[in-house]
Amino acid sequence: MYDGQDLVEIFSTFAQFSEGRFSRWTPDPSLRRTMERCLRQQPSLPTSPEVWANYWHRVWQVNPGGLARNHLYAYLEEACYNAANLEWQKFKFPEYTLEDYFQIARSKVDSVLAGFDPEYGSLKGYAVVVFRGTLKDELRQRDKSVGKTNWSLLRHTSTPQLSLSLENYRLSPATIDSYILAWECFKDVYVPTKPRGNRRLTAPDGNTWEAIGQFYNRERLSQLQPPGPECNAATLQEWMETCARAIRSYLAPPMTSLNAPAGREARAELQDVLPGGRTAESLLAQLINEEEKHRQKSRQEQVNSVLVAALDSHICQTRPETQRLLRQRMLQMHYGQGLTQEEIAKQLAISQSKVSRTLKLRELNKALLLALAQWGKEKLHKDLAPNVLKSMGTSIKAWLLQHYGNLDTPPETET
Amino acid sequence: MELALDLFTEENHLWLEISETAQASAWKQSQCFSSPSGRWRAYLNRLCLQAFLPWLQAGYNSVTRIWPVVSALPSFWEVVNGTAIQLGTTRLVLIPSDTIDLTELRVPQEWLDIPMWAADYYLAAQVDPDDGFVRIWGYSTHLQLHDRGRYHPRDRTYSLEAEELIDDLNVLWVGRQVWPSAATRSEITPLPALLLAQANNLLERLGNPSVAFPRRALPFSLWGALLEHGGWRQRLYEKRLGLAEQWSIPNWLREGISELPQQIGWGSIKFTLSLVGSRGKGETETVVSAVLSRELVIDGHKYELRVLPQGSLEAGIWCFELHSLSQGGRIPGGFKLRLLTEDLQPFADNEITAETDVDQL
Repeated sequence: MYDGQDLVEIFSTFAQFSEGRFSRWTPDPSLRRTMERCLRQQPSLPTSPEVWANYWHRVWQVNPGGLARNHLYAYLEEACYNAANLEWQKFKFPEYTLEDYFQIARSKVDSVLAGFDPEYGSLKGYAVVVFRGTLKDELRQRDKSVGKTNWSLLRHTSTPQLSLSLENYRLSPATIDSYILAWECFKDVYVPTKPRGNRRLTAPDGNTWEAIGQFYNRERLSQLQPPGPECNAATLQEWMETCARAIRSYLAPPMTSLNAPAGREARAELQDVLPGGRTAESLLAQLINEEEKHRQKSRQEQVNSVLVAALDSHICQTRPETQRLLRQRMLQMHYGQGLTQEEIAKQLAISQSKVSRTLKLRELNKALLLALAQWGKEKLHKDLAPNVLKSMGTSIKAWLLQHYGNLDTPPETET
Repeated sequence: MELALDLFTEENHLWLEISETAQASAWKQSQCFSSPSGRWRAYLNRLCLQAFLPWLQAGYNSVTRIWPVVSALPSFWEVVNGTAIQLGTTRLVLIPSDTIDLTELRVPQEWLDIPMWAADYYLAAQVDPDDGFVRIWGYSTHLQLHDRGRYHPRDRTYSLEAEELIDDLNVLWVGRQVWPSAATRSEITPLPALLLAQANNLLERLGNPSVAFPRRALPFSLWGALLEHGGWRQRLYEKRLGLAEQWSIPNWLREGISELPQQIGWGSIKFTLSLVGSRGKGETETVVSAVLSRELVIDGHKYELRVLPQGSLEAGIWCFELHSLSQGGRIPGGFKLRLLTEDLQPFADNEITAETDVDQL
């Protein structure tokens, strides 16, 4: 159980790192005050952090710019840390610290808040799934950029990524426009001449630069406003080198979440934040309403039983029996022990593709999603938008982790 | 085939393997384009299609096929990125890219605003030939891209950021199952019809391969109308490749069949027609005429399609015949011979059906 003091801390402290490692939790005074006041006003409030997280999430939906976001950031610090730590244990990327991993995860908090649907799971479980997916993707991307020459990197960067890198490099909008056009010309002219093995493209030769130059000088007249001066091959080469440097510096750690609350800066009080004190009160009243608590609990139980039934019936269809047992065991290893398919293959001394074909994670997730979607549709008597299904899909992954995690060991009580 | 997940694979995405052999064959098939960037675009599209289509066909039983037909794809890739797949009445468009970042899905305007091209779903595909995989990492609908996406006038694309996409393809299938009537398309404004002279004029101008970005060279409505017509799109592709008129039947008969149609199986035969007992002459007359022919394999049996001019070439009257090529073979009842215009549209009195087994149709 949590007491009031724990709750205050969970929703008002931020992780502090020193030399790349976690050092302590730093409190944010204004967040602490709002939490303390809420608890004073309503001594009978429930003490589950999950219920409080849902409360702040609802307040955030009413007023996304307010203090609720900061409380949720504080609440999700632990999920960021857990996700970062899990990925860090699996793979320590050169030049990166645990804090860098943490910051990458943290950059997704806003999209977690936007995507989460409390009908189908817990915010924290949902967040960990999103954070880990993001970390995998970001690290893969950085990993891929390391081995590339400038010329390969330029060919494998998207327009908005280049544009962001150049902004980050503090170039003016007009310069960025000409650089991007020059880069489009570069990409159009300098194309790989073999089907693979293009990670280390060498610098274009003199003729290619001339062709890029001619192309640019022709296109700038119609594509740029104003078209800017004519450029020679040497200038274009210099521009492309700058672009490559800008991309690398944009990808390099540390990556800080620019729009995340900085902790101490937040000064707003609860009543400033909510449009009309009544909304805050009515939401708070809802939170302590017995009926609401009961509804939430029974809904979680319902979701759980729908998923358990769907999981059982899906697994039962795996034939023959030996295959079914093997699949069960692999699911336990994957979701329960957090092993990758590679690690499972190694432990069971079989090929990775055999693991993938036996686990069939995609089919499993699809069966569960279908069951939950049908249940949701019947229960709510309305069709579900794709975004609701997307959110459901993530909650299902969180549920699988929890479900298989619980089969082995009892759930850990957080302190 | 689905790829086994490793340390860095995000589970929501669909990872498909592309073997080195598949790459080599895709590369070989992607050489006939007017520019290196066209070749590379075709190569990525082909890899993506080769990986995704078999996966789709294996998992989803509804009738899946390439739209409009596989032989038409190069005429799309010459100028536009993307490949359409028809899944029953639903259309998907694969949008491949070889960037390492997954910042956004950027779809050429043609795939949204040309009424005949528009699709229900747009799939973002990352193609990595060096690591040998295609990853489907997100999708969106016409409705969302059109109404909520950003339009970029400079390169004429609609884009959505990664966060606005659905990253899990399961959502697409499950969504269609539980909510089949959900709207996927936004309203599309019809494009103006081009006059033949106007089209020829535009083809002359854009057919020059030194126009590097033909998509940006005209107002979109004209460009879209030109591409929407399958024959003109094909003509544009051939002109940019520097090929003479390829598909004119009178030209074939007069000058022989050019190389490109020969590659897909068209041939010419000298055909002897015996006109027995023409009335009024009381004698047998033999006419030698050039006929176009192409062998077709339908349901494991070989057939021959013949095109015969009726009267003089200038009259423009044609007779189409289908014969069986197997020994003593006939055409089974129920067979339909259907003619389509060059952009694959039906027209009046365009088909004939064999009611019972017949010798020829």
